[in-house]
Amino acid sequence: MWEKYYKQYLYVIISFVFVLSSTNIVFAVTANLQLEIVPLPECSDTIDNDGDGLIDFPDDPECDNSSDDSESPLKACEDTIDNDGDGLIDFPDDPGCASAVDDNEQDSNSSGSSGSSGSSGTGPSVSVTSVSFSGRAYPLSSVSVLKDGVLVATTIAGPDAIFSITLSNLSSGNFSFSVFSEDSKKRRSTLFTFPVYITKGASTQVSGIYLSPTISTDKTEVRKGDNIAIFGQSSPNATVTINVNSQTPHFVTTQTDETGAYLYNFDTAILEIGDHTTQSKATYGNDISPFGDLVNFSVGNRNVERGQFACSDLPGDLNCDGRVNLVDFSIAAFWYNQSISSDFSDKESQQLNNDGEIDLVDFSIMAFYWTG
Amino acid sequence: MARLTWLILVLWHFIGQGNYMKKVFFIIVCILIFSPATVSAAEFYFDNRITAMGIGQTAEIGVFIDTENQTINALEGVVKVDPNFEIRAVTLNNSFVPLWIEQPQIMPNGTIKFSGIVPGGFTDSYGLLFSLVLEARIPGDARVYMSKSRVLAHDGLGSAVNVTTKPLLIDIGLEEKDIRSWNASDDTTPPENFFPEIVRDNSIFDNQWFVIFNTQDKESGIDYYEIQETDYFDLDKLTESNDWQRAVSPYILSDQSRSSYVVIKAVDKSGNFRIVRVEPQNHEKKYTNKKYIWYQLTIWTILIAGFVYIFFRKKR
Repeated sequence: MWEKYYKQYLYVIISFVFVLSSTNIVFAVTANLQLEIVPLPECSDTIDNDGDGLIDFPDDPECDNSSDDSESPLKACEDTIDNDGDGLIDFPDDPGCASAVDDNEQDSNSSGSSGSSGSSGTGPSVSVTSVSFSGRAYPLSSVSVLKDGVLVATTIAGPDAIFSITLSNLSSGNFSFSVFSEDSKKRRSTLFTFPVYITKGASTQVSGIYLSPTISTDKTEVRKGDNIAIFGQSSPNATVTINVNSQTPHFVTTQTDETGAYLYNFDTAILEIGDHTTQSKATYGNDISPFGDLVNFSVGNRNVERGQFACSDLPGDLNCDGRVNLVDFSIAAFWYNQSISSDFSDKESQQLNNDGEIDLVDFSIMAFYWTG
Repeated sequence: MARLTWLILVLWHFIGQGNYMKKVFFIIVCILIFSPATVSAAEFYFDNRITAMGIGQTAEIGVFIDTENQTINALEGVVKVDPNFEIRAVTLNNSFVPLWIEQPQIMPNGTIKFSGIVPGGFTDSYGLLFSLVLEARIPGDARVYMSKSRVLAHDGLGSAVNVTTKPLLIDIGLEEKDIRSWNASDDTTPPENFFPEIVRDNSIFDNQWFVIFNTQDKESGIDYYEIQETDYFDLDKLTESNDWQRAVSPYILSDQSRSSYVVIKAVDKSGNFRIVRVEPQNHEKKYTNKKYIWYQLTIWTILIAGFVYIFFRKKR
């Protein structure tokens, strides 16, 4: 029996192995049976993955070869083309892009359904409604714009710290815009926030923005009489006024260099023992920035170096991702007006006002430290 | 103001009769020190262009705040109206508040509760929070007023700002008045584009993945959100689909493997909508779930059986 049919059996086994090897099913017989099915590349899986009616290589022109794993062309938000003609290209520069795989650069307006959909032919008509922001940040720093608290655009300032950024295809109405910059050491300016009423079809320009300098200190505690280094970044060749808050506020000035960096060694002999804060503002010609963030330090009997950035350095950052945004807002909103869990209690005490509950005060702290 | 009046009365009593020069001097000092102009306070007030209405007429009344040159970033309150009115609607168009903790809405007891924040702070004397659409029902003097309110400073500490409120008094008569009647918005613009995010955090939802979302509609305001978790994204089919579920942010995903498209629909109060999606993070996992494994096995079993059958038939 076996001798009679061994060839047939052999053919069957060989054919079976051949069939399996031509697919990507892998059987592994071990003590524990494991079955793993690895999908075929999109360009050879007999499925119309991108919904264009054309299936696999060579029928679908978006397939370079049969092992190409994407039937889709480059999305509008990653194709380095200004698809909507607003002067802004791809994610994250174009506010119409939700992500790099968003296939629609158009922002809101006019048509029924749009957004970051992959559909074509539903794009709204191009509108000239826009708002532009320009001013001074820090040389080659990233400058970001928040629209109603949400990050919508980022650009890089020039070597002279001048930046300009335009948002287009906006609806008409009241918007709250905020601009901030991040220096080369990832320190951020305070938000420069202003309400703007956008008129349909009009271009609104907001110029003369002078972002506050960034600031930090080399120590969190300094021995009385020792120096504490106060440093940060602003625009090049600006005069920086540093305010050290004490019983009597002390104001000192220093100059930024070509890179916008400044440093002042402050003699703490004139400060009382205890907690202090410092902040700075910059002046360049007739332009004056607002004061920036407050940095805490104390004067005591020892020197303690300031460590790396810790989550607790950014109040309101509930998920410790270095930002205060809608995610943190949502986490706090979940616990709003209800008793908080023990897990969340730790966060509330470290990142918010440590009163054991989430109420308007916690949201106010979050709004102050908002980064978008 | 009550404090000022009280102080003047006490001083008047203690200075005694006849010392008019001293009295005048102290009154001036009191006014300079305690007058409202020098007290740090924000004021809630209502659009006062309408002072009289006729029965059956509807009017839109704006609720505003004057921050008195202070920068604020959080506010909450409860607006009440006398029973002479029926609150027909609350509109959010042109509100300066981008993030509502509690979006203004009509509560079962006929009040309107709200709380919200302004990231980066807000300073203005004419800040519109929202508008009430009121229908005059019963004749008489009727008030619109704020019963509770709180405003916090943009100082990183959430310090309370003194708040005053100015009620609105409207005379409701039998005759129709010459007022600009409210008409429902002819908003045809969909809500603003928005970018949902899928995150998880060990402090909520047992560290399960959830989606957060928020957007604005500058004309009629956001009415509600809906969500779908789907295997494939087809905008036309989704637009006509009836499988949407109402959702509020944050929303726990039912597909914790993150192998589905998460599609969010924001609908404004005029029925316009915007649909956005979040791409699946683990699309390939779709192929490892039971449904696909059995699908593949069935196909291959049929194919192999057919192949063996043909092979043996040829041999015979």
